[in-house]
Amino acid sequence: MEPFSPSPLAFYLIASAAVAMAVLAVTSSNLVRASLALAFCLFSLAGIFWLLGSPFMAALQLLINAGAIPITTIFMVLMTHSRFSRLRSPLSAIAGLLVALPLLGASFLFVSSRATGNAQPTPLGLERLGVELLSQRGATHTLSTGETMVVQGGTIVAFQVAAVILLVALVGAIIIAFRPGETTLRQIGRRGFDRGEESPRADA
Amino acid sequence: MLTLSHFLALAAVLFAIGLYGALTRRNLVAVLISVDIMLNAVLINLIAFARFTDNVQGDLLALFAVAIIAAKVAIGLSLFLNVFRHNGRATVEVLSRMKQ
Repeated sequence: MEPFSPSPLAFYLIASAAVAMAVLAVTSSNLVRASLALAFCLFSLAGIFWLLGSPFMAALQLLINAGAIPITTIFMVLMTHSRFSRLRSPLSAIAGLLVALPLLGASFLFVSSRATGNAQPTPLGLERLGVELLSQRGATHTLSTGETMVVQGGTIVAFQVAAVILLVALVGAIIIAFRPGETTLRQIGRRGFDRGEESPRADA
Repeated sequence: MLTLSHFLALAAVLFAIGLYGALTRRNLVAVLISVDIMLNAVLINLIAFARFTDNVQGDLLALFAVAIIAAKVAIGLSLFLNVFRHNGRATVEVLSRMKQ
């Protein structure tokens, strides 16, 4: 596809919203508020991805990073009774700034001196991304527009490994958080499985 | 006109904000929020480089990074839940004491 020119006004609006929400997310002492600020920050980053010409990543950002992750974070806040958070120590704010600001300066040196690339971003079509993701490297494919492309990415194996990693992570999360004796019967409050009585595991 | 440097600068600012939060927050959930911001700054970098050089591999790497972020949050939830059950609070100090 042809390179295009993203709108600077949209970029500055979205970027300032993202930075403001990120600052709120790391400074707010109320963790529910911090999670909501995180959701807004990740939501605006989907707009950044859209501006860069990657609509699939924007959709993925909306679904996973702006949707599921703040929800899970709020679950964490509720389940670990941590509605409020403080600094580690009064001096840690200064220490954090002493680490973060030099890193920011070094990054800006890199950004201004070494950033290369084309003048404009090239959008990535959904069909091309799908073919690159789900075929082997070097395979040829004819797109619906009629042009023939050679697959550069070819990450079909990595795609399946990522699926297995997600499955292992979810099963592992269940096993780590599992408490012996906590059953479905106890959750619905059936007699004999209530808190305070012997757990069904103990007499087995 | 927008260049690659604009997007890299935004990512650098977000990464520094996330690093500040990860170093200063006491609660583990707040640290995880900060790490999330850092990871998303990395996503901006990956996609910006991929689109400005028209190289699809950056997009694919970003896609897999999103899967890893989801796995990280799921594991983090269960680990912090266990830390909370054992200690009554989920803070950084509790994890520091595990060294001794």
